[in-house]
Amino acid sequence: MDVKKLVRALWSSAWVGWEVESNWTEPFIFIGLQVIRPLASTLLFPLLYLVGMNFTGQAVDPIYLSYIFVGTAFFTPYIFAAETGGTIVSQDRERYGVMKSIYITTSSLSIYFLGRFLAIAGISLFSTLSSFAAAYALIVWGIGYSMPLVLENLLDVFLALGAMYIGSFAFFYILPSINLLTNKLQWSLTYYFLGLLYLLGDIIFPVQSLSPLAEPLAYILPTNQALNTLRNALGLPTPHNTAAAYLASIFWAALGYFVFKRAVGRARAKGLLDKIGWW
Amino acid sequence: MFQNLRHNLKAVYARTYVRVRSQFREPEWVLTESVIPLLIVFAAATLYRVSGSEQLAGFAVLGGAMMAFWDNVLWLMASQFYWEKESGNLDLYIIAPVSKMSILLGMSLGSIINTSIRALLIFLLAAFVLRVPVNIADPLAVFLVFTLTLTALYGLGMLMSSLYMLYGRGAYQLNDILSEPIYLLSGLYFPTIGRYSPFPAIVQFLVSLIPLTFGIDGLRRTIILGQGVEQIMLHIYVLLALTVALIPLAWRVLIFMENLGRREGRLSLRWM
Amino acid sequence: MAAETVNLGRVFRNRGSVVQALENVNLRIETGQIYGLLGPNGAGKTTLVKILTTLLLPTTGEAYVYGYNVAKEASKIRPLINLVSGADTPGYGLITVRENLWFYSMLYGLDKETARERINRLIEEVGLKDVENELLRNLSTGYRQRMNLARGLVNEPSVLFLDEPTIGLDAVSARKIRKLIKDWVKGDSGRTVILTSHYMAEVEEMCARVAVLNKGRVVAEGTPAELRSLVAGKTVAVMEVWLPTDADRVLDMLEAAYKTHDPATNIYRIRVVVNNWDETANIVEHITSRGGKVLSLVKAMPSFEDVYVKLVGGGEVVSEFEA
Repeated sequence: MDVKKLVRALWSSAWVGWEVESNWTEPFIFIGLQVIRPLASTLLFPLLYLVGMNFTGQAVDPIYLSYIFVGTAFFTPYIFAAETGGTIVSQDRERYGVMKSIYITTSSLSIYFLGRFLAIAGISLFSTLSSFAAAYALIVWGIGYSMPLVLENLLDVFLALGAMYIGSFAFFYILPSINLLTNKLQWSLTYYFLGLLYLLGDIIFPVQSLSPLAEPLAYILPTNQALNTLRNALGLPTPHNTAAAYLASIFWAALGYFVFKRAVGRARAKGLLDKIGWW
Repeated sequence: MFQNLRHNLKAVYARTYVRVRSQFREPEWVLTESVIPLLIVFAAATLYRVSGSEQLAGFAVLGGAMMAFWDNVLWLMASQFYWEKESGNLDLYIIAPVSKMSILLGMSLGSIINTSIRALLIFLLAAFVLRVPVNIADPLAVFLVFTLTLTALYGLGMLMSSLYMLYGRGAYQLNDILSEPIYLLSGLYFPTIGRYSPFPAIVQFLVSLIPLTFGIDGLRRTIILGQGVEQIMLHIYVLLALTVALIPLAWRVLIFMENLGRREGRLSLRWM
Repeated sequence: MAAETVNLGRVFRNRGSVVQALENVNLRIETGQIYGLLGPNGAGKTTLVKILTTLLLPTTGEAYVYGYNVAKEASKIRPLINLVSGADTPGYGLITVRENLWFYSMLYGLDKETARERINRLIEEVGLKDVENELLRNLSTGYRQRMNLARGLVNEPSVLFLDEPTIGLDAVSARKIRKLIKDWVKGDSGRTVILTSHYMAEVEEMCARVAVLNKGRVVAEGTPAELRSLVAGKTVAVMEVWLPTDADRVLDMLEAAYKTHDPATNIYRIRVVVNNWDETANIVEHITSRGGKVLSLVKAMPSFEDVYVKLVGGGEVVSEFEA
């Protein structure tokens, strides 16, 4: 394996990803997509909680508010990965027509997708941190509710972020695998995934709240323990298991990669790598 | 003049037919576009329940149903002329001897029919599963606020179509930017105007300009909280004012944009 | 007069760049004919069509369709025209061919009976009977283009604008489309077709008159015979040459059109218009002095294509015929 060629292919794919996804040459669109939109999705459920408590005359629990806030803020990397992963096949295959050209190069689609993922990971990190800071300021100083978040364990923060990005890598490979073989879900697949994660992923409530039978999901899905590790690292008394976070994330990432390779092979066999239309 | 009116009504009917017929050729879309909002509705409703505000789950259900309309306005109304430009249909609309408002009106009517079915499905499924108590004391109030919300919302959609006609590429991205902030600000899942709003007065005023804000608040009051016409008079006035302002404005902007497009040459240039 | 332009000009401005797409275009297109607009990519053909079909305003000058000003009286022009662009396949994929035609007929305000009768007739004439109830998205390119043409005829326009109608079609489908267009024009003396193309054979076959555009200007206008006379009395030298390097520059200096090029052997087959056969000696000398070799040299009669190359410059030419 020629490492130099690999690195070059990876770098150029990441560069393309940055150019396509960031819109940095259009500042308004850049701010809109990378800051305002993640800010809105970060604020939605914490504010829902606050308004709900006020409406029913209950006292706001700052711990639970913080729980929701950290979940929605750090769900952003998964959202970015799912949204790009869910549309990259239709964009590259149908809109830009580059997929077949990339496939026949000496590099591979896997490397190209990895490069694209790295770009989206970088962009999402910026978006996550900026929307986290802005939303925190709005809730604490703007609206006036306290959130007892303290950076207690920096190592755990990095560990949690690592698990999150490995988990989001999984989506970046799983979703395109499905879209390679059928394009009927190109507009909806991402939102199925994200919707399910909102319900089951410990984003805004522990999954056990749905039913005690759902508890095993907390160790199977890639989001739950990663987010709980982060919550704990930020001073919240959330049960967490960092090892489980990594196990789950690595499992899903490996599964994603395996499924992707199989899907590419199948797409080639069925002549789908450059197919356009509705099928 | 009567001949002209008949001609334009034919165009309205034809465009409505195309929109409705296309949707029913792919019935699985109805399912897809109902299931996705349901997932978020269940998540929001569960959050209400977990935090001890279970009685507000109905807010989430209504929000999910009305989200279908906002998404429809953004993706199938506002950016529709962009898609038409891509396929070459926009040129044909421009050169056809018919008012472009007829085309937009046809699109709106078709969208309202399709989306109402989806919204109803979402509402009924979610209300059934979550056992949301529905408390309609005054059906006329529900009808009024729903109808006015749609006329104002689709008036906004028509206005946005006119703008998107020229600014195609950027418009697509603008839709992405507008989706979630509008879900938040317009109060799809919780009130963002009035006593319980977390936003300052100036923000409440600005978001009131989006028909969805007063629309969904009015529907919350009349479907979940059992209020009648008297309690939602402000909502009716605001939505009526928005309808009366937005539809003629959409017409003027459409004419202006078409002429601007013809002058600058943007109407049929795909990269713009 | 079907269409007329008077000192027509069109400038595009985009982020600091300025493109003069049309400059001082003066044309008079009579009713009852197929009028061709010929030119290379970027010549301004489509821009001219867009102005005449009221999609675009002129920057300078004026244009008229049936005496109506395109800028000020667009609403009077639109009932009289239609546009078929070869590069587009407009229509809605999830409705059938028949439904698509019905839809467009409604945009022109046709009543139910007229629409039905016309759609039935067009489906037969254009050859869509087998697919009339198929969803548009399931059709091949050839059928989609036929549907596009049927759509363009649904309002029985007085002037039909065809913008590269056979682009991307195989030879058989393209031939069918050309026949349909010719038959349609013959059907009524009041019908006019304005056709843009960069297929010379198509234009020569179909058009009563042709305007050749290059870089936004009309460089020649007349019947195909009149245009051919621009090279009347001239001869064409058809040559097979081997060129080592810099072939394009050598060929451009000769204003040669090259038909084929074999990259494996670097052999070019070219055509050069000469005033008399003695000039071929200079051409041979020009080639050999730059390290090339002349492998064969044959005399031929000038074709319409040679006129075109003469008017718009040398280089690669799109043609259905071999040299």
